[in-house]
Amino acid sequence: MPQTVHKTSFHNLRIMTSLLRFSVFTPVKMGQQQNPEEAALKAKDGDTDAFGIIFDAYIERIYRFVYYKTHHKETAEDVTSEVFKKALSSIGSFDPVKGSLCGWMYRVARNTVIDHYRTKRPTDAIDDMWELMSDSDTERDTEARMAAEQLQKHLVVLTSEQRDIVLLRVWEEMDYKEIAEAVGDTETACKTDFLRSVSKLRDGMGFATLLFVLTEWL
Amino acid sequence: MNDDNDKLIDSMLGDLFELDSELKENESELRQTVERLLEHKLDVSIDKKFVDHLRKHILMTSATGPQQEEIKSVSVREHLRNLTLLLGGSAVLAAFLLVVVSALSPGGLRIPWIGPSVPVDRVLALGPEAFGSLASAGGVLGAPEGTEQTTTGFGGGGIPSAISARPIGMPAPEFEQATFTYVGEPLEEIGESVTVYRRIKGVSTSSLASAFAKRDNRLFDLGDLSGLQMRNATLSHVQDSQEYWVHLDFREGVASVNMDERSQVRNDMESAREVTDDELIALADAFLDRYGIDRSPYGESEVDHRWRNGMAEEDASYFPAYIGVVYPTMVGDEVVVGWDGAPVGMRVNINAMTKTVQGVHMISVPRFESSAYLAESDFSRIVSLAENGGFTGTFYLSEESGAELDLGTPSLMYFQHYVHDSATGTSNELYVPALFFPIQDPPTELGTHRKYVVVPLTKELLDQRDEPVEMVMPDVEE
Repeated sequence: MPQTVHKTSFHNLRIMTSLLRFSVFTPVKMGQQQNPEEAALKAKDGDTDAFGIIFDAYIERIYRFVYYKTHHKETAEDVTSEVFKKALSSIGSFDPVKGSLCGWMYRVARNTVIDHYRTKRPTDAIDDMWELMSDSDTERDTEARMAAEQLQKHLVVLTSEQRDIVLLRVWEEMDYKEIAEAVGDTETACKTDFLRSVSKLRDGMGFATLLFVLTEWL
Repeated sequence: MNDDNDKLIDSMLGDLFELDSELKENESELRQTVERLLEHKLDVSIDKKFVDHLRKHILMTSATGPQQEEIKSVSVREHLRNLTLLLGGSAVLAAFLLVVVSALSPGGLRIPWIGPSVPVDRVLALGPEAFGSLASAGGVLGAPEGTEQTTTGFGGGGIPSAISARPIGMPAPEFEQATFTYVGEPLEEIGESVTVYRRIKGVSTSSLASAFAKRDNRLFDLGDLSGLQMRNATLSHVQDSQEYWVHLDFREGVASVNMDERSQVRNDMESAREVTDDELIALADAFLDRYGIDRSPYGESEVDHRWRNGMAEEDASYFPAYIGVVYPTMVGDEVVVGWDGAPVGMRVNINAMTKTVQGVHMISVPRFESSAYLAESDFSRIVSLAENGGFTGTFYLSEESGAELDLGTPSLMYFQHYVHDSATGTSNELYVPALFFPIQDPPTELGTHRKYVVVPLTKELLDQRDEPVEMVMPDVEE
């Protein structure tokens, strides 16, 4: 009997170990798989499922960022689709030594938005919807219009890059390393740009804005 | 504001105070500014149906191969690259596959037509023929900065196009043209379109300043002036007792550095003759690094030896005072070249006598746009054009009648081509794919030193080549 009990115990132990493996080890493995940086390396090597992990990790963030720059749901969806198609077709060029996947994804998104406006309005040097706020022909969601108008007169004095740095830092809470990779600049330069941007925004219609208006007017 | 927001704002302000401690005096105003930004954050919610649909689409594309769906004109090279990546990737394997594919192609060599893969973060893909006509307004050869339309005289310095002009026929010079015979591999499989690239100009002050990697140490903050729409600026800077002028042209998106040579003491030419390529490149590298000019976007530097063209090896009658080191512009993996096949890009000119850098030119921000253009699919036409001297036609001149030269199998290269934009009064710097046919054993006595006959692959440029050439002369009143 004791032996039987023993066997049963061993048997149970095996089952428990299996369960333990399943419940403890499997999630760890899954956790590793769900790391988008590692998924990117697998996607580079042709693992088609790995790109799904990247998609899940970034779809909402990228969509938000694109929306910040387009202010229009359908446009944001179209551009976001394009971002992920480009990311998929170019994942081979992603180099983790040169930067993070996060920075790379945002960089693709940023360029795709610029591409969208340059293709749509090839004669204007437009980078995003902030520069078209006064254009009544452009499609824009009402809520976005109302919210953006509160900031537009201030944000429009910033360059497109400065605006992105502010939005990524304040609205997306990204760190400067990721922001630097997204806009293709150095970390310190991004910090400096953020400082200047916030100082300009603080000044409101201060000296910089006045010069901008005068230059436009002249 | 909740606690999380307070912490976030504290963190942001902390970063600012680290950069400039004096800002602490304005902490409350800055805090209000950031709070205001947070208050007006756009409320964004994503449609779940859109996410599900896109996910399915992307993963399906991923499984079946993205290029088939997304890229209309697919190159052999792209396929090879992706296949290489899929298999774990190696250049050797890619080369092997290229040879295999070439060998298996019926009729001969298959050319990877579309050309380089460009990092997606440096190229904006535009719609087809987005750069307008590739044809130069005043002739087949592009020239920088609108000279095509403003200089119409016979070398007299140019006459403004505002003067009324009428076309007159130009008498053909009495030159003999060499006869070319194509002896290379047969070519086929020209795609329907080729990709043309354009360097993005009109950069912001901060973008152009980013070409200077050590931006943090700059003399003053160019970004602060962005609202002024500054067109250009020239700065003076003293380095190692030498004065340098830094010129920034935001409209053209290029910068240059030039030394004030008034203080230069010229040495004898003998020391100049002893300078080696390695020394020149080291001097150029050191100068760029000292100035914080980013070398990474460019290709491998090389010394420009074109001044030796036409000189015998042992000929010591001439040695230039200035020698250029070229850091080639790269479009993806491809070096951009001029019509002569020599790389073009950022150039560092060095005084070979004093071994000091005289200047750096064409410092630019490596960002490009791409657009598909209709390709010439008739290879017999391409060969025929090559055998007639290529796109530049009569440029290859012979001192003796009846020179017969062979052309080898061409290479695909991107050549720098300027097209004047009359609307803006500026020029577009394009990179157009072309076949460079190597001239085999060119005789030196021909008085010209071209190594290649060049035939662009865009149909429009070839059509322009076939049109009768008319030179426009000003109607000068007597």
